[in-house]
Amino acid sequence: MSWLRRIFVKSSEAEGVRLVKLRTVRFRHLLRHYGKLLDLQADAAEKQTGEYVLDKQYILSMAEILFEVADTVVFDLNVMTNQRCTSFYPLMDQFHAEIKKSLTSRTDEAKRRKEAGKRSEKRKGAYSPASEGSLMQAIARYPLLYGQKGRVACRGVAAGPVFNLSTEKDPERLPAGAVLVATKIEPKAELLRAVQKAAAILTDSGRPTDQIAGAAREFRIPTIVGLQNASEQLMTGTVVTVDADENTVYLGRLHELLDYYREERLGPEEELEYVLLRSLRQAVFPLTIGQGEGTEYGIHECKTLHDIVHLAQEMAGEALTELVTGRRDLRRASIGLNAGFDASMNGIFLNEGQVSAPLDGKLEIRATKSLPLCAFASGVVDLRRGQGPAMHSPSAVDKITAIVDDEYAHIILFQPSGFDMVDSYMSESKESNYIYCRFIAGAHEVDLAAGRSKVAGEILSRLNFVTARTGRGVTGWIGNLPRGELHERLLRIGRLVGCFKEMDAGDWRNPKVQERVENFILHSV
Amino acid sequence: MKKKLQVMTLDDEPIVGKRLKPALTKYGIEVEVFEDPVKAMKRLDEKEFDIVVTDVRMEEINGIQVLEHILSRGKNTKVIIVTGYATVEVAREALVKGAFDFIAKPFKPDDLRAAIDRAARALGHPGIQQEETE
Repeated sequence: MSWLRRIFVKSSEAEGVRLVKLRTVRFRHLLRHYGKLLDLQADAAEKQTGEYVLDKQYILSMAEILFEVADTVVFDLNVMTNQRCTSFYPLMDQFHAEIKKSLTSRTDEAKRRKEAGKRSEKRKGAYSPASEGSLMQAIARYPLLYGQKGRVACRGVAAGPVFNLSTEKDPERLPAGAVLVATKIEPKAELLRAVQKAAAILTDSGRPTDQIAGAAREFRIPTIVGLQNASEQLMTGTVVTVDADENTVYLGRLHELLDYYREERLGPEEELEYVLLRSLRQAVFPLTIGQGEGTEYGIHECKTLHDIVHLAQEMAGEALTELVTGRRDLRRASIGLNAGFDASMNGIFLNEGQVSAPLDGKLEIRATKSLPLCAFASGVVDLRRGQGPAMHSPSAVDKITAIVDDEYAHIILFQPSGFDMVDSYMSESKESNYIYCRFIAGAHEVDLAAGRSKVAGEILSRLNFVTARTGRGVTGWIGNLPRGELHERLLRIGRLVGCFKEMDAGDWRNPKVQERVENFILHSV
Repeated sequence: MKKKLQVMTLDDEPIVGKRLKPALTKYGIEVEVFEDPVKAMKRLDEKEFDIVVTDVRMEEINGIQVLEHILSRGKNTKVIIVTGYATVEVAREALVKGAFDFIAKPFKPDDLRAAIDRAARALGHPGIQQEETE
C-alpha cells in the first residue's frame, strides 16, 4: 500500500470512528429518555394507588414532561437516521393535542364539581369539631394490629370479619362484606370473582402495582399489601377495621372511623385527580404495538406515546447496528479481542489512543479498560468456570462487536435470536449509569417465541430491570445505580446471554417459565 | 391534658384538604381547611394557629404572600410550604423568607405529619401523638 493510500485509509477510519462516537452519544441520550418514560410509568402507577396526596397540577406537569421525553427520543432518532423518521412528528402532535384536550375537559369538569361541592357544603354545614375530637379518642380505644405497615394498594376504610384464605382454601366461600386475608392473591378468575365480594383485602406480600391491586382499585376495595404475616395473625371470624389511608388495621369494628369516612370522604376513583391520572396513563403508557400475532409494526400501528417511544428506540438501535456493519473503514478500524470465551469478537475504540492493537494475536478484554465491557465479558466467562447455570458448549454467541470507551460499552451480538444488544454506561456518578438490553424472540412459531420472551422478561424483572415486551422480543432497562451494583447486574446479564443458548437446547414447546427463571436466579447469584 | 395542635391547611385544590383533614384529625390535631386564600388570611387575623400548611401556587394570593402576612404579624406560627411538581425553586425562596419547611407534591400524608411534628417540637409542643405500633 502506498504511503498516500495509507494516509487516506487512516483518515477514513478516523472519520468512521468519529461518526460512531457521535451516534453513540446520541443513542445514550435517547436511551436515558426512554428509561425516563419507563420510570414515569412506574411512578404514575404507584401514585394511582391513592397513597399520595396529589393535585391536578402534578398530572398536567407529568403530561408535559412525558411529551418532552417523547419529543427528545423522536428528535434523537431522526438525528441517528438522517431524518428518515420525520413522520413521527405529526403523530406526536396529534397525540399531544388529544391528551391536552381530554385533560382540559376533565379539568373544567373538576371546576364545575368544585362549585357544586361548595353549594352542597353550604347546605350540609361544617363538620363538627366535637365529632373529630371523639374520633381520635375512639381510635385510641381500639387495639392496633398493624400501624403504618405494608403498602396501600387502594385507599379507603372498611370493616368486617376476616376470611383467611390460607385456612379456608376455597375463595368461593368468602362471605360478602368479609375482609379477605391471604399470603398473596394470584390473578386467577375464581379469586377475582371472590375479591369483588370483599369489604377489604390484606395480603402478606405483593405490590400496589400488581394485577390484583388494580382489580381492587377497579372495585374500590380498601387494600393493604405486604403486611408480611397477616395470614398468620388474623384468624377467620375476627372482626377488624382496615384503614387503607394509613396502612393501619384495628381489632374490632371502629364505628366512629367508618361514620367519619361515610360523611367526609369519596373513594379515590371518584376524586377527579385520580380520574385524570388514570386517563393520562391510559392514553400514554399501554404498549400496543406487537401485542398481536405479527411481529411487524411501524409508525402507523402506534396508538400511544409509549408505542412511539418504544418503536423509536428499536429503530435507533437498528440504525446504529447498520452504521457499524455497513462501513468498511470501521471494520478496518476495529481490533480483534480475546473475549475469554469462544466467539469472534472485535472492538471499536471511541477514544483516540485508548489502546493500541497488538502486533500479533488479539487484545485481552482487560486491556480495553472498558469497565462495562469487562463486567459483561466476565459474566459470560463465569459460565465456563461453572459459576452459573450450565452452558451449551462451546460457544455462547458466534460474533460480537463492542463499541467502547472507559465508561461505556455498546455490545452488538450477531445472532438470529437471544440477546442482540447490550448498552451500558458505568461511571462514578450513579445518575448517569444504566444498562439497556434487548432480547429478540427469533423467527420461531409464535408460541415458542412468546415462551422465550417470557423467560427473558421474567429474569430481567427479577434482576429489577423495567421491561417492555412485544412480539419481537423484550427490552430491559435499569438506571440510577452505583457503579458496584451496576457491575453486578452486568455480570448477570453476561451470564444470561451465555446461558440462553443452553436453554435454547431444551424444548420450548413446554417453556416451564417459572422453573427456568428460578434455575437461573438460583445459579446466577 | 396537652393542648391540641392548631393547624390550618390552605390549598385551592379541594383534594388536598380532603386528604389532609382526616390524616391529621386522626392524630389529635385540630384542623381547619381552606381553599380560598382570602378567607384563610381573614381567619389568620382572627385566630392564632400553631402551624399553617399552605400551597405556593394559588390563583389570587400565593403561598409566599400568606407566609409574609403571617411573619408581618410577628406571631409564633410555623409555616410549611407545599410545592407543586416543578416549583422547588419557589420553595427555596420560601425557606429564605422564613418558612419552617417545605414539602413537594405528590407526598404521603405521613411525610407531612413528620414535618408538622418537627414544627410542633420547634414550638415547644410535645409533637404529634404517635400511635403505638406492634
